Amino acid sequence: MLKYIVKRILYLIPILLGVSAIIFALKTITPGDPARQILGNEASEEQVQAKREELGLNDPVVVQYLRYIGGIVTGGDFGDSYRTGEPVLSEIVPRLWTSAKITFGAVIIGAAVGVLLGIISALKKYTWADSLVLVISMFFQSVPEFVVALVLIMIFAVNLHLLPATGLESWQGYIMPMLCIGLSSVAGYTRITRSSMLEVLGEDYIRTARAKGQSESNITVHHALRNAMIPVAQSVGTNLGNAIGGGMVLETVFGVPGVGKYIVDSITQRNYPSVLGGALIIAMVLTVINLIVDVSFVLIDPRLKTTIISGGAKRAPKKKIKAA
Amino acid sequence: MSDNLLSVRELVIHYETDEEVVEAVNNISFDLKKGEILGLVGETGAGKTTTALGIMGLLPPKVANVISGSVELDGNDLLRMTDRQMRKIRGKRISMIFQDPMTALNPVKTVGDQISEVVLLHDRCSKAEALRRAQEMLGMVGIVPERYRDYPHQFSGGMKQRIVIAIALACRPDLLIADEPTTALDVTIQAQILDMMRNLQKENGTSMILITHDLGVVAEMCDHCAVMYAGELVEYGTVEAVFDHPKHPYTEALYRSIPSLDKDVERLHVIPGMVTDPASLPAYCSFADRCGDACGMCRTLDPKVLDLGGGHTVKCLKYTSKWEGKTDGKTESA
Amino acid sequence: MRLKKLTAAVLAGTMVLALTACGKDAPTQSGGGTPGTEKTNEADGGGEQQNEPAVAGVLTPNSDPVNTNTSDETLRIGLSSEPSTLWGASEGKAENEEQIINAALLDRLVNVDPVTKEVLPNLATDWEWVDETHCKFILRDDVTMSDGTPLVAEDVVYTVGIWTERCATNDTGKFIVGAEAEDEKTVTIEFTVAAPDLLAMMAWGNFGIVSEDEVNAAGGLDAVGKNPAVGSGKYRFKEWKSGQSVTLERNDSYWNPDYKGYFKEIVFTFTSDAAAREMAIESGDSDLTIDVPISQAATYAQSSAVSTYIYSFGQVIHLWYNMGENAKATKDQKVRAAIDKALNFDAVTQVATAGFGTPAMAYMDPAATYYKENYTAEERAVDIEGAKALLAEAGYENGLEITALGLADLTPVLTVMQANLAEAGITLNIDTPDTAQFVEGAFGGSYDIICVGDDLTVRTPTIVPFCTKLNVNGPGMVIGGPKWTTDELDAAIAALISESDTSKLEEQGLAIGNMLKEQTVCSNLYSEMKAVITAKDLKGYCTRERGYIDVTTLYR
Repeated sequence: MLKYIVKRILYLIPILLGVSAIIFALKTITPGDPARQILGNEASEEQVQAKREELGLNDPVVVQYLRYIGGIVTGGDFGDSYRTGEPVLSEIVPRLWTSAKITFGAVIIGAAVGVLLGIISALKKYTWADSLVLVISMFFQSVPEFVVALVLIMIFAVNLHLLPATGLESWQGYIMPMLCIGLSSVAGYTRITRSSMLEVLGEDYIRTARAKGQSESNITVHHALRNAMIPVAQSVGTNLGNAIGGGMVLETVFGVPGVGKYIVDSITQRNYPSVLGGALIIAMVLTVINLIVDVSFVLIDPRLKTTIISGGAKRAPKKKIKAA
Repeated sequence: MSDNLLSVRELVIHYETDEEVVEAVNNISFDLKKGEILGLVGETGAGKTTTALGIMGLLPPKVANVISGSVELDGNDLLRMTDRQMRKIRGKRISMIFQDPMTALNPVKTVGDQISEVVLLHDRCSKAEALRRAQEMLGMVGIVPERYRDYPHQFSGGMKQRIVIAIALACRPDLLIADEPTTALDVTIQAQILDMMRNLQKENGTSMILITHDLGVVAEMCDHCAVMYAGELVEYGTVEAVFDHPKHPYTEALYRSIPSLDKDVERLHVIPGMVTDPASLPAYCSFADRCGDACGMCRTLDPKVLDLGGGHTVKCLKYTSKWEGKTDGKTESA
Repeated sequence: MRLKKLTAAVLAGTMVLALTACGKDAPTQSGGGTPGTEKTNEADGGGEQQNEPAVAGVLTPNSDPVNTNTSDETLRIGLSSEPSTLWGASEGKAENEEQIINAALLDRLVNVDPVTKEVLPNLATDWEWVDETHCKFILRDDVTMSDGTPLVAEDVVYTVGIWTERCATNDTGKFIVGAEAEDEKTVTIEFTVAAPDLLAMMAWGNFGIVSEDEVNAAGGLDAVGKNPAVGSGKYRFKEWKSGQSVTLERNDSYWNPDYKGYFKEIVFTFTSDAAAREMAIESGDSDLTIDVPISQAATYAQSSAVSTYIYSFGQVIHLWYNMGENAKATKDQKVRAAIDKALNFDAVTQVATAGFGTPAMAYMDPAATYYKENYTAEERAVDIEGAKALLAEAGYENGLEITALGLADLTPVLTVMQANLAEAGITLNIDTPDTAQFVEGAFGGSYDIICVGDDLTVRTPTIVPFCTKLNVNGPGMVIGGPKWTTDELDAAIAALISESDTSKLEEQGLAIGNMLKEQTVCSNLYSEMKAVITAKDLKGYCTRERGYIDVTTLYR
């Protein structure tokens, strides 16, 4: 298990190198001089040149890139924000925590609602209930998140005065962003749960359970659900990425001081150190969370324990062939 | 009548979809005495499993419909029971073993849990007691009882089938329906499993319906034998009667398709034609189109079940007085 | 299959329902306004608005009586973005949000009446132009800075030093040589140019006075922007939660006992989505928001749930023709005149101001004291035939392709122009890149036409910046413009700036306008407008320079 985790963490290195290289490349090919960006439109050419020299922008791109990577590796230095001059890391960490709370809540809401709807539509397949669930989940998936956000604000803040429209000054402020990001992922969870439930309910061991005289509700809860949850749990990792992506837009709408808003603002301000640092830190966090999710599958599906502990998935396909 | 544990009468089961109606089981009747083993043989698609699921009340809902007939267990019609009543019977009075042990066990639950589940459902006892019973059952089917904490994927195919049997027998059911219990297993394991099943059956006095397409298994295990073709029971009788004096041309053809060690045959006999499509059964004898003995009458009349004496029944026009075809068809086959 | 169709039908039905529900919602809030007026983006919406005054729901700034009460309430203001500093001058910057917040923290030598534009005493009780470039200020003796020390002339000298040192290249420091203290209460500021209106500029946001001691106490000049516990303004800095909010609290020891700050605290929050900011006001979470797009504000103007302010602020948007080194077809005056004739200024104004503005009839803004129209309605009318004739004369009878550069928010305006010009056979390519690319293109002059606005009410050296030699020939210090000027034009601008006899201004302004008109250096489009949404019960909305909100005058 430890070997597996270490291996997964080592995978982070090429991922992060890739992410940083792409953003770094984007930074260098897009027009607009960072030095002028910092100094403002009215700075003289000499000042701009001096700033370029100070920032090392006159060095070859590769040198700049290596210097950047070196800074991260040796001192966790993600550079300073062009806009505020503060270290990017110290700006991101508190925002990351805010985003994490919202994303976590959103994933829980999305998964809970999605799984519930998925179970309903699987158990009531081809009935009006199934169609209704499909309509509801497709609605939340197809309507852009910011539209849902504005409608939610309209309902809960403007008309009902239940929740604050923007900001996170009280705990109520978290509800709408969580709900909004969560609801957009409901469709995904519903679809996966439904198909996975239907597949599981058609499995022989469900028939075995029925042959034992077990009731349908017990079969659903004790036999089908846990098996059906395996693909759902796997999709949590993917959804987390989506939730963070959705968070970028919604944090802007809801005025949430999170990483998403930070990166979006930094993009519009062409604040590359912040964009780069934000993207890298998100990539890191996502990879680690995906690792945690993967490891937690072992708790759901005992079959994985052998594959993971014995060091790799290589043996798994072989086994499957034999079983078939 | 009183010593009949199970009595199936004129059972008709259809699968209905938007496109077609599949007449899976057509008007079959048979009895099973206490402690007896009935072999249900036939080709794939003959309706054996449907019959078994019909008895269990486990037919897929909405799609499968019991059109008519009765399935009486100790004189009580199972088909008229509510879901709740049926749940009390399943696992307790009638158990079923399915074909593929690889998929019949829940991969995320320990085998101990899966065995004790049925005990907890039907016998009033504590969880610990149920687990003890599970270990006992594991021992009975030849698995180290301490392995009750293991998950199904940690067992081999044969062992899994033993566990399935342990589940089926955990509540000492009166009737065990085994649907091709050994088909998915290695040949060497098949014999072990069958031996074990017969021993357990004898010990517990359980009645059994053994669904198989392996006539050898039937000969070895069963008291009675029922041959199914296209959802119909074409021949029924004691194993001795059916094996020694097969009456129905289909039964005869089945025997000819068994490889024999004594005879030096170059090629196995193959029954000509395809299994009759149960979605479009003819109005006449459904075997007529493949039957070597068929005459014109066979393609106009649907035969009735005839009792040839001693409980040996056959559904063939050959044994009616009206028969006008070649009666020496039997000698030809001998 | 049937199920899929059914689902699709139900889905479509739900969508339609949801949409109509949303549609219904808006008029309900707007208190039964005419639904048609919501569509102000199209030209036909404009026709409707001319029939009935849509401005009915719009309030004018600076029109409420002055507040005379104080309370313990909190004022919440929604800004579109978070400033990077709260004292731009200390870092050589000037950001809109920073200027608004900073104006409440730091006090300036003088004030300008937002209506009469008269220069009023503030930290300075009196002033006197010693000569054309030296102005002597007499300071109040009852002003205490944030650290409790009295304001002295040395503080002004120190602050002016920051402007000249840190803001040497921008408007804050560019026109100032330095300051000298005569005694504790007398200080003279020396300017680089003779421009009487530079005095009025001393009332702008970036010209707040601090003392050296308080700056050092707040962490020095490099840190004070993040922790601006400085100045003697009406409010004091309390807290800045990065990414979330900035909080100010009332300065109860403010020198002017007549001034009353109604709100004990002012909290600024940052939400980039204007609709979300507006809804926060409707829900009662926020009291005011600025920078609302005019087209959106036009909808809220119909609403009885909020108050809407839409106003111009002395800035005219001009369409400049590139006449500099990189110029192509627009070097030819006939082409410029043809474009001017082909443009439908009514439509352009309609789209840009959602029907709240009127087309500009002069280079100057109507808010300027020296404004005088120099165009007739006929001259402003669309003349496609005339345009075609001019193009043919210029040798472009077979059509012409030009590129317009503008910021993304000008896209609707440029699209209207595109349609106008197409009728005259001119193909207009619209280039609306992001700010940085826009700046680069505008600096370099890589455009045929460019839309930019400039403040025309205060006669500082920044007025008509695109046609002053300093900017055109200088080190590329101005964005956009024709990249061209003449000695005559430059002299006329210099004369306007330095004129001390205000009765001559109208004539001088007109002279500049006519020079630009003769050469068709630019086409005058419309006066730019700002829109602000406030809670219904909020009063005292006043503006400062460039139409910025004065957050200290609001009350309930």
